[in-house]
Amino acid sequence: MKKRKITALVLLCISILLLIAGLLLAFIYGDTFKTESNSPLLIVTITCIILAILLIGAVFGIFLVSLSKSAYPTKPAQFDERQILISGKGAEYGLVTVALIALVMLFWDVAELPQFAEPGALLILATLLGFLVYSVYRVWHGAYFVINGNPKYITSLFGVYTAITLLIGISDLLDGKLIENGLLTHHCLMLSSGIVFLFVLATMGLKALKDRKDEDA
Amino acid sequence: MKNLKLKSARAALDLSQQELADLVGVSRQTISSIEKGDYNPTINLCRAICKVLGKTLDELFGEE
Repeated sequence: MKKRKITALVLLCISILLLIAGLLLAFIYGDTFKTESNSPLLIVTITCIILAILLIGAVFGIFLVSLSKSAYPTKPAQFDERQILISGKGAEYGLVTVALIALVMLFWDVAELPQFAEPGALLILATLLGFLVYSVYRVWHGAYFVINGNPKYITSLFGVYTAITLLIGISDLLDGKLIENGLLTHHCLMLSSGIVFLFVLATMGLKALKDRKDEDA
Repeated sequence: MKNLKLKSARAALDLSQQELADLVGVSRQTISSIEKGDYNPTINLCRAICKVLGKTLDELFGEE
């Protein structure tokens, strides 16, 4: 754990130095770069900035690894008998949700009602709704977190993943990729995943509040 | 139906739900569900709880 922290800190320092060097070079020799596209200094500047970005990526990677290591310690994930039972029920409800959506989609198609999404997008939405029902049911019944895990770290990891997914989804939305020819496209994957993860995260928060009240009641 | 016998046996040993859960190897919510009567544990889990609390199956899970 200590080694990982030191490595991350060293990489972060090097990346900041490289970034500063790259930006300084770009600031000082900016005018020269405009006239001489083959200048060795330009290559050095670009290399510095690319290396800095790569190192920042590596630091972020180390951060994610340490989060997941803390969330799931050395032992394999363990669920108790009630949690396994709840997971089974959750999977059943999730499957029923997907089946109901498929039925509605079939009816929609047969009745020749106006289409609002591509088949790929509908498939994504149906799967995500099934996943949402499954996850929310498990979280609300206290069967989401393993016994030997650390819920705080798992939630943090989930939060980071949700933020990344939402950012990519919003970027897709701003690029106008989500709707083409009046139909929702498969590019809705990231944004809809992000929204679903946000719901699961909110359920985790509400459940934690409820558990605090219920504890030893 | 609430399992008050389990709750009082746990309280007699001054154990919290989390402490009992850790000793038995289940989640705190599982102990809470058993005490509330929301979940019927398997015989293996009943035996594990009895062993930790020093009670017999009849004392904790027998009919009132």
